[in-house]
Amino acid sequence: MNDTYDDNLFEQSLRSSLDDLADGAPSNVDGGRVVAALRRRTARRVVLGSSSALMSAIVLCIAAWPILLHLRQPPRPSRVVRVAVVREPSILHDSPAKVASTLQDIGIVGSLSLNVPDVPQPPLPEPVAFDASLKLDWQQGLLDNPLLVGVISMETRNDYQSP
Amino acid sequence: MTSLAIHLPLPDDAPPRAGSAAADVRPNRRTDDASLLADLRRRDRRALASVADRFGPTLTRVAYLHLGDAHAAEDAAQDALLAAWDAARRTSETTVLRPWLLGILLNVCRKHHRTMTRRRRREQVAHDLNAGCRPDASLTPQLDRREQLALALRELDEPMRAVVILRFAQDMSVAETAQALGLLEGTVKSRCHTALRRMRQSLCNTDPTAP
Repeated sequence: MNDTYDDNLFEQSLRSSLDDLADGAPSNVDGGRVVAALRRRTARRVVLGSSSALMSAIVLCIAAWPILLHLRQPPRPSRVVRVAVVREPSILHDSPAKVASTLQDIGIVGSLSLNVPDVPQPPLPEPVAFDASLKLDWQQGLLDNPLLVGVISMETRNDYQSP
Repeated sequence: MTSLAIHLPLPDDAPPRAGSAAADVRPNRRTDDASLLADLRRRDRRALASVADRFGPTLTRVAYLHLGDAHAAEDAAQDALLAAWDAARRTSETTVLRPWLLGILLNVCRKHHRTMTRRRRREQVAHDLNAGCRPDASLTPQLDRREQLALALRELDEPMRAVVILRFAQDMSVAETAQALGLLEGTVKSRCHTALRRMRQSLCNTDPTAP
């Protein structure tokens, strides 16, 4: 009897606690964004509207750009590690393959392998200007890099269209 | 183990919280859901938008509980809705929208979880190579109760975690849970029983008064 009572109390408490825990979930998946993602997916080969993938691509691009420009040759393994460090979970959230795919989809690079800790293979990506704008309030310092061309608004990043 | 389902009355002037289990079980929802699913089968994009508006919060909450990562949860919810669009034509009149959607979501979550696990393993290797040291265990902060619960949930095997989330975070019946996961009801009950025992054990080890 006591066991059953305890079980019931535990289940009741668990329901309430899980509900509280789930409050940490984001709440910006809505019809407009999903239909926009569907339209882009069916219309052309572009980003599916994954906000974290695009943010990851931007941050990685900013971090890797000076390395790629200065080297003009296949990076050494030590350089690759620098890129890997930028990909810490607290900053980026996507697999290298997804980030590479996103970079290519938005036209920033032509070809880039990011299978950390593997060495990226040539050909090195050519810088390509992109015409959106970027607003990264949470890492404003990154914008000081003059090589960064444009800005993608945080609010409209899911609606960004491939050039 | 006796299960205790708690259904609080929902007054008209107090709408349920978006994404909570109660938000999706209003009486007239079932007919709405059936017509939404029929529209999805007819490839109506407005139906997809309506499904996303109605179930988006639920999907992200379930994905968040399953994956423990807000960004991944957002991606998983959106991927699940797009997968639902693709899979809608394979549904029938007997398909029930909510368990069907949650089943798709949990499949997507499993895929994300595998990807996240592989990525973390790679990043740990890269981090260790770069830093040349491992984190000092003594610096690990004390977990609060929410974190303890999240940890206990993550420690469950994936099939058990899915059952716990659907049964207790979404208040789904054993039959609905079985439908969503493609399992027998008996399997749902036994997984639930084992999962609760393990969670209880895990939580009592860290905090006797938890959850």
